[in-house]
Amino acid sequence: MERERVVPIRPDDLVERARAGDRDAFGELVRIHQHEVYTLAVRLVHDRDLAADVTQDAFVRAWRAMPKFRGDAKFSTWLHRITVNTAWTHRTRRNRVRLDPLESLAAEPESTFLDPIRAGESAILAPTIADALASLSASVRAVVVLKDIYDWSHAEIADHLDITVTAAKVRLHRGRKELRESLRGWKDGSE
Amino acid sequence: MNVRCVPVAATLTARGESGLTDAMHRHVSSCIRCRAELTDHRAIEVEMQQLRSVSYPAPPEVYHRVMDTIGPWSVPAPERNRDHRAAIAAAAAVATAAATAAAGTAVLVLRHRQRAA
Repeated sequence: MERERVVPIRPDDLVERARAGDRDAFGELVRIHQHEVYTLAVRLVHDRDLAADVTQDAFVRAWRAMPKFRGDAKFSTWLHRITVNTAWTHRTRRNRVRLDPLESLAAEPESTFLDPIRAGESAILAPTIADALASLSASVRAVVVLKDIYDWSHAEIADHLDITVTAAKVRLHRGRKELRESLRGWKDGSE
Repeated sequence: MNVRCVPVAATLTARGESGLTDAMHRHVSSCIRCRAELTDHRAIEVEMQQLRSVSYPAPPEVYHRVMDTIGPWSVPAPERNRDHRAAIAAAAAVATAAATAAAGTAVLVLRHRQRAA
């Protein structure tokens, strides 16, 4: 069983110690970042079990690559990039192109809110947009998620998904259009 | 949808509201369809931004699986790389030894069969 221990709070210290091979410091980084990495993985692959595998694999890759982390980007940004690459590798490997929409909705996990002030507001809006995102194909969803939620540039998206910048723009265009149509359809249906 | 509505919808999906030109803004203000399009676009943008504050809790076993996989010891980074290289070298040595042994056994079996014949 893992022993609970008090560690320095400063994330930079943890990163520095993890770079030097300190397992406990890296463990603390896993504790801090596991939910955001898992959340990104869920949004990309939309499958809880696969997202857990992606999260585990992303952290293991990060541990192995820690000596190469130079601090040019924030640690969380670096971790997100590894997660996207890992998710894409898993997705390609398993060839899971698209889940049945009903299965996707059933797979949507319980969410918690990082910012409790906005929790009530998001609780009303988030399921709808999350469901609409789930209805997109995986390759289109990945671009929409990375651009509109994580604010990545077209160039970053293209680089990490191994597509051209033009393809990233085309998928974003298609994804936003489909999102709007899905949401409009549900809104019209509920009236 | 008239001919002026098409570029508005295309610009909104491709570049967002900031991509609309002055002429497009003027058209939007006088077109019910495009106003609805813009309202939908803004609503989606707000909802996507709100998703940034939504988090799914990772299953508890993920942490333990990660820590089990990376191994029990703290190792300085260069050592870690050296260990990795040493493991590859050891695996290559074992594979070479196994291949040599298999070849030797095959030669012995062949000789034995030739003698028996």
